[in-house]
Amino acid sequence: MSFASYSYLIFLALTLSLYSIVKPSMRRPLLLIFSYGFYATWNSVFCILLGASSIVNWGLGRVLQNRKNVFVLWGGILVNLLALAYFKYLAFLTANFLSFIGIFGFESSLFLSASKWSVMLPLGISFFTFEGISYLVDVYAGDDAANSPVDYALYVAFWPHLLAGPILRFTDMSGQILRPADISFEGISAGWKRILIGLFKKVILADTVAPFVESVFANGASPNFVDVVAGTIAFGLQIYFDFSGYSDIAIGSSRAFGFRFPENFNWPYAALGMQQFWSKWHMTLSQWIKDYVFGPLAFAKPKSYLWIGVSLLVSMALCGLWHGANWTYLAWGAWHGAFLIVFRGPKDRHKESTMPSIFYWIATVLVVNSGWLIFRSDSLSHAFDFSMAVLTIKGGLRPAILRENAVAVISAIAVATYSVNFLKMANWKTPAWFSTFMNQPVARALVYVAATCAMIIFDREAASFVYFQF
Amino acid sequence: MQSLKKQEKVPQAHSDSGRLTLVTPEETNNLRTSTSAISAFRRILSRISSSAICLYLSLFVAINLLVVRYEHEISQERAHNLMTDTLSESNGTTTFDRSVGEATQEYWGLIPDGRSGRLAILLGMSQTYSINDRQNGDLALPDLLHENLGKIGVESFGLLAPNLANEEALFLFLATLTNPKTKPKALIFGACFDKFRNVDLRPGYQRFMSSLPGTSALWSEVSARYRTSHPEATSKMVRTLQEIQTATIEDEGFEGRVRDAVSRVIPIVRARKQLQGDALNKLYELRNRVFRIKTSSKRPMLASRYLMNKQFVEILIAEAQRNGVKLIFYVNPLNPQGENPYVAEEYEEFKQWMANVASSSGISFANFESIVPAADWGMWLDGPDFKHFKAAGHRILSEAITKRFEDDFREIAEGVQK
Repeated sequence: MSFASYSYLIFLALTLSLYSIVKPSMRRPLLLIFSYGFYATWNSVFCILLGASSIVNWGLGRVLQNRKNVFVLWGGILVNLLALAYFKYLAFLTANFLSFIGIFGFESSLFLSASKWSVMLPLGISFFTFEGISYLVDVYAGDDAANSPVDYALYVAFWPHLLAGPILRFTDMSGQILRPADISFEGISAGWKRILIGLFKKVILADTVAPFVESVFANGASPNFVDVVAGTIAFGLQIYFDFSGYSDIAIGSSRAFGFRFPENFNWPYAALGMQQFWSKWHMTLSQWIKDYVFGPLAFAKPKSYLWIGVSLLVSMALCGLWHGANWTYLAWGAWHGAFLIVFRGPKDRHKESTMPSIFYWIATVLVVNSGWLIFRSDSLSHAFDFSMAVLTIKGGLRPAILRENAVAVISAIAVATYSVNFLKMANWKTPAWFSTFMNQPVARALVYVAATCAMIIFDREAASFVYFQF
Repeated sequence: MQSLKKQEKVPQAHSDSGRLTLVTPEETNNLRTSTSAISAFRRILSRISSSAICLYLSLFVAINLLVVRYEHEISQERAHNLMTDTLSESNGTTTFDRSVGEATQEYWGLIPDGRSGRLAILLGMSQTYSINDRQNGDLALPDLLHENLGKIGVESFGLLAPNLANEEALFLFLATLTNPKTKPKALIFGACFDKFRNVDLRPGYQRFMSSLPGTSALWSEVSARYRTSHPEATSKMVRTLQEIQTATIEDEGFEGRVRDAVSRVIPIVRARKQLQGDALNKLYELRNRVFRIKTSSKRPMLASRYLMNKQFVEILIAEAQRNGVKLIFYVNPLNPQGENPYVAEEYEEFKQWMANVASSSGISFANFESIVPAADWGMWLDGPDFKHFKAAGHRILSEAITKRFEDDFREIAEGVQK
């Protein structure tokens, strides 16, 4: 069941209705049952995996609360990582191992082919595995463990964040889970508005550019300079609107039940420098990487700039690999890691800077979009070919794949998005008349009705979210 | 390990920080103390009736009422966009897919029985069915071909749609091969240069493919067969199939049923496809006005798409020959007085390529580019229509096809007699 579907809206309304009428003590079990039901609509078999992962992590958490045993901690981390490695990276690791031994003359046919090791990826495994690891580390570090397995299971499986985040910490959720809130008009109203915003981003913006991206980056396509530039910009827009739209729906859905999730995006395309970008893009993942990978690595040795740089590069490469089993993701992570070292951005934008903000902003946009080219390519050689098409201005200004309409649509959405982000970056204040106008109930109702109608009319029959594949 | 502890925590439950905090502590306490679910509901209902949500719902209802009021006009507008309002009147015999690709499955059963060995399928774009300046009693190409070829002993049927892409032509042809009842003995294909900029199957054909047993399997088999020789087109075929299979899961699953149920209740959901077509058309008009684009504005070929389209045609030829289907190709007529959007050199290259492919494959070919005189073309938007002719043009083209390829048609008819 996709968030961008009528089924989900019915599911949400049904759950909300039941949630409001059951006794407070039944709210947690109710949410847990519906969360597993939601997950089962994708693949019921993997509910067992989700349940097993929850029980193991809850049990280990209880052990760690009583005895701070480092072996238990590392054992728990390993169990989580092994599950992730088996489902997500086995085929990739096997293929690369076979290629590697092939260098030494071993026949790969002696072994099973890499495709035999390919297993179905359980949706959301990257997310609930990271949540499991953070839980164990936090409990080891002194946080309270979950008393009841239901509490822990609900923290992991609560459907708004289960498949594609935000990545939550148990401490963020424990208080909310222990005392589930009553539903309120404000909660439902704010939640519904947020859901509408998310759906608009997904259905109107992300899904509009998705077919153009698909045609440019398709296997066997031979794009010109214009195609690659437009396709890469379009992908940057697609992944942003798709993923931030998903996060909006997740935050809005949880808000309707009185839960508050952390924000995942904060105007990332308004960032000045890569450090700022990562404090605005997929914020819960970058915080997770910072706390659980970069921090321990960087502080493992006495202060050394070289070591901190290496730690950053490794952390970001792993962050890239988290997105999928492909060298392109690793390269994308390394690309960001390298630019985090050499192009952090202004330390304090209000202080005198060697470069005006606009140059920082343009440079950030260029670095981020170049990164998307690597990220979206099927392989590194594909990414290289695309980069060459850009560098050699292949085909001049004539596209080979995208029609003029497609280039016009991408340009229109890109100009609108980057203009708004630029104004945000420049701290442009909304004119008073506009704020006053938008505060009128009639104006807000008109905007939301227009958005709703646009979503109904331009609905592409609920295409799936990009971040599900990670 | 303490260093791992987060410095900044996200807002805790019920904290009043964060932009979404709209519940005042007073209200929260009031709600918490309320033990009755009914009273909570009443509270919510009373808030709804006095807020922007009430306006939102009222506006939404009003828009739906407007959709109901103008549903007929919206449908007519869509028919105009598809050029189905210029179709010849049905005289009892359906000679082509009159849904023009929107609901082909409804017309599939009307294809004359191919087991007779006398079936010819006509594939083509809007030129083949749309009659410019249509008058009562006017007939279009498929009707006229049906008459003319019928005299020779060949039965014909048109699978036609606006802007029919070569990928779609290949799909329709493969679909006919999946059943002996629809398998043709001859395929008449009017190649149109500007359609070599298009790819993809329209939603109607996507639905049709998923509903027709065997077509997906054949599509997949054909894409595998030509993977090495025609990599661009076959990669596209694989992507198309994946797209359709994903969409099919949605359509046939729970979500599809929910969507249908919702569309029965909410008019704007029911009319969404018509409204989408209308909205896109308005956007095109806006684009044309802003960028001063005319029907004659030059549209250069897109190299990658052009190559892919050539490969689709080559696969079509190879599959036709593999299945013993006689191919009849022609280059579409063009209005001699209407300026077309083609780049002259590219168009010349295209015609040469068509002729070369036909001669090297041994298929029947003719260039009908100039057979319809200027007087038999109509007007369109800002000037002479370069693509759609009047009823007289349909008659001329039908006679040209019949006469130029008479030997081929007679061979089919005689083959049956023998």
